[in-house]
Amino acid sequence: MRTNPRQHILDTWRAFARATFGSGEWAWGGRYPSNSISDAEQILILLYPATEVAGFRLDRPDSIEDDVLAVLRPMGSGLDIPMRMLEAMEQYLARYTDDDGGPTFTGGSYLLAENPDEEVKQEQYAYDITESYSISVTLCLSAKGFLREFQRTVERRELQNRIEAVILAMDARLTAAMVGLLRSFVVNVLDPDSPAEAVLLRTVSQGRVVGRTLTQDLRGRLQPVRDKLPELTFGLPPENEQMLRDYPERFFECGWAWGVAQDATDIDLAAAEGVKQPHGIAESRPLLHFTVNALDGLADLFSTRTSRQGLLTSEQQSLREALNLRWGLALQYWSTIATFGSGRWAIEDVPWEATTGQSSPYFTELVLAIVAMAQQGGTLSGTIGRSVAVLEELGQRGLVSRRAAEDDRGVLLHDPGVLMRLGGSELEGPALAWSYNGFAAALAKTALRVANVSGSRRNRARLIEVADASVEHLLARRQQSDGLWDHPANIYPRLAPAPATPAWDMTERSVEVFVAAAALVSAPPVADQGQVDQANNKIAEARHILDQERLTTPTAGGSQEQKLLREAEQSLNRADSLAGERPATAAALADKVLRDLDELAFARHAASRSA
Amino acid sequence: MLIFATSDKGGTGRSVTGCNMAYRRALQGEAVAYLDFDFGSPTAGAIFDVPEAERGVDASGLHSYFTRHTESQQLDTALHSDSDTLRDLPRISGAGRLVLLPGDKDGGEFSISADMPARCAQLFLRLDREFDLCVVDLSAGRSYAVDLVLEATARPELAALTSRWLVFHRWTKQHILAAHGLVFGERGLLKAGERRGHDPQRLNNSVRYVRTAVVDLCVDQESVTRPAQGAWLRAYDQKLREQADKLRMGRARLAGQIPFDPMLQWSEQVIDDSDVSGLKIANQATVQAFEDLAAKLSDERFWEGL
Ligand SMILES: Nc1ncnc2c1ncn2[C@@H]1O[C@H](COP(=O)(O)OP(=O)(O)O)[C@@H](O)[C@H]1O
Ligand SMILES: [Mg+2]
Repeated sequence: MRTNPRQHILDTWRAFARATFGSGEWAWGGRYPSNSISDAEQILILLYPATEVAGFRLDRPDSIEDDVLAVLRPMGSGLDIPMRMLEAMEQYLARYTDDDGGPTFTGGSYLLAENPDEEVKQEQYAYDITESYSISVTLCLSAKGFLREFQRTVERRELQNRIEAVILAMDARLTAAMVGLLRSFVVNVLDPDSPAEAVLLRTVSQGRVVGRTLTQDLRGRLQPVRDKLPELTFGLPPENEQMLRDYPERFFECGWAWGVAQDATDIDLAAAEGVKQPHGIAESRPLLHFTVNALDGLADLFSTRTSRQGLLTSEQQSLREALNLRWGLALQYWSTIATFGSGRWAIEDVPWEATTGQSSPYFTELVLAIVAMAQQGGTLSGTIGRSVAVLEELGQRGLVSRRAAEDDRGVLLHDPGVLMRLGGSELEGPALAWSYNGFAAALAKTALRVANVSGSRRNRARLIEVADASVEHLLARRQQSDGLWDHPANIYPRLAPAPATPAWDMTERSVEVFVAAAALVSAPPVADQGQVDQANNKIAEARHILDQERLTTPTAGGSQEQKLLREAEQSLNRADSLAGERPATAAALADKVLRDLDELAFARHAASRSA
Repeated sequence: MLIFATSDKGGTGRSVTGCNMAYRRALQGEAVAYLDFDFGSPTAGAIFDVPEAERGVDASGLHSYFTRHTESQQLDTALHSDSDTLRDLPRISGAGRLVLLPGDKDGGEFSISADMPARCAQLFLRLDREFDLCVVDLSAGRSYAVDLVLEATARPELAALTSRWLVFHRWTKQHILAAHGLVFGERGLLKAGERRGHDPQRLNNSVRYVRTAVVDLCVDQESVTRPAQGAWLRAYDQKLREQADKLRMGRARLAGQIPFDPMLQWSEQVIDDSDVSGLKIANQATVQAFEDLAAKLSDERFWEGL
């Protein structure tokens, strides 16, 4: 892998610390005025690698490594760094809690009016956004893990109390975010003969005739999902279930809307007591961008680290289970659609067309991300080869691994990004939109994710190539002078230069990519059985010759030969312990022993000839 | 401010580090007194290169101050030292004085008689008025000197003085354990302090640690010649850090870490910027570490602790 995650994270941290602590105090916001998502991104630039990657821990003064300390110098000493993190969390919580003490999840400056001539209304800025729920899940969990560990070094009572208060507030925010994610999950039953249904059928048919066979087939494949929908007992309107029951021939889609759905009902679990459940605005229709975003946050909720560290309270467990059910359904639904049929799959038909009628290579990337999550769960591993090809194509089409031709529309993916309409928002003001320009980062993340589950060395190499190209693209998009994102004009010179201020969204996405790369690097290499057998054979031969040598070499200690035999023995023991996971290393050790031992035999042979 | 320098074992580098730290404070503009309370083996005179106090003075050192009730000598190093570094100190703009209160030759340890703690307190009070900083170099382990100053600092007349403790230790498993024992052990500083009327929690909060002669893995070290050696050292360093952290001797309580310096290994002396920049016989990192340690002494956020 050409990507060097440790170096990239260190570089980013150095630039981050300079930008954020230039004045000595944490400075919020950058290119965009701060909002609940952007500020969370800013914290996670530090906190995410610190939680996920060995060697970047910041939670105990003693766990901070020297090179990390050096790049974070503007934050102060090893003693100051965890304190600075604590202060940032306190400030974050204060900024995103309303007057009644309820957590807020607003989109603020990230919201755009679909028509740039119109102005977003004040009350629209206050809409809760699914992305904020999802990033809050990640933030709160990382923060809790961090603070629990930090607490163990702290002796001062007053400081202990401060930490305890932040943990409690993070818990409240986490609960509210989980409730938000439950209320923004939607099942959209498609009207027969509607444009949406037509798109869905066109997507799965891939040129085959959309006849009775195909629709029946599709219904059959989706039946397991449909069967589980009645288990979703809260958040959704009761009519939903009834419709699915009364009209078994209708198709549906499920996933996350951009915010709490218009028809969302209240969550009446004990855990949700006290959580404000405002009336929803968002059109009750899953959007791929927010679906993947929600799934990403949920992945942290279901991670082994979360359960190992016991980061969830017992009340949160019930919310977790409800979300787990929705997570499973979304994964199953989308991967079924993506890989339907025996011929060409929908996912291979770039760009993906959403049921809203909008199509973009970014949507293909999103569906692939869902498929990759399903692959991680162990299902669908047969689909990896085809995913690899699609990812490669996305790299080409998305102008990540290929240069842009003049007036290439692919550039728009990166600047200004894909604009997605937020249906339902038009009721209280101008129609709103959400923009996403992280195509390259998402590509790298998905490639690395798939590489992590791929057992084939060839596929893995191809995926790493895609990831490397994306990382190269990302690195080139940094501002030369301060080393922070985002300056797409560096790559696509026809674009207007961006302002010099740091864009924390792209910075955080890049950091996520580096973390994913670090995860892949720290996993054991792919070892195939043939190699393992070969290594074991070599070790066996070397052992046998070693035993023979022992039989004949005089035991007088200290002789050169005895020394060589002792070293050979040590090498073979080491080779034995490595043969399973790193067979090539084991074989190399055995090779050296074989050569060394043969020198003895060859020398004796020479002696016998000259006698 | 009073700084008590102690260590569980002899030969840790307490005196060499303490003297250099004192020199740095003087450079930073403070009037500094260095009190050689290592009654058995006074070495500060040798480190400051004061010939008449090489192994302690013939008469009226600190030992005699306690056992014979004589006044103790105060040797201004600018006048009494043979070292150019120290003689030049007054010529550096803004620098303060550095004064040695030497031990006595053939002093030896003594047991504490009833009037000594008061006499000790009196000495500290007087010096605290005259100097910004007093560094008290105590003999190793739980010695009489340690008992004496614990007793003296518990007295009401010293209540208003800031007293802080630096525990020096080498960077090995055994030395870390020993230093921990010196503070937290059954016969340790905290228990002994408590018996003399100190609040153990407050006392503990005034204790910080200094790691001495640590092989610096960041600078290109001549002593680390092979990659495998470097890998081993790094991994072992990590283990030692974890051990120290567990024993509440981690970074939160780390006042300084002095790199191993070949020059100091052979010569117990005060090193100066010209040894680094001109002759290049000492390492920049060593001087920097002394400088940082000196700065930490008055870093209130650091002493507030976590
Ligand atoms: N940073 C250092 N690097 C190398 N050697 C050192 C260092 N500090 C001290 N030493 C050596 O360690 C020995 C003990 O130092 P000293 O200050 O006399 O210890 P103590 O006062 O604890 O008995 C001395 O010989 C000195 O040269
Ligand atoms: Mg000494």
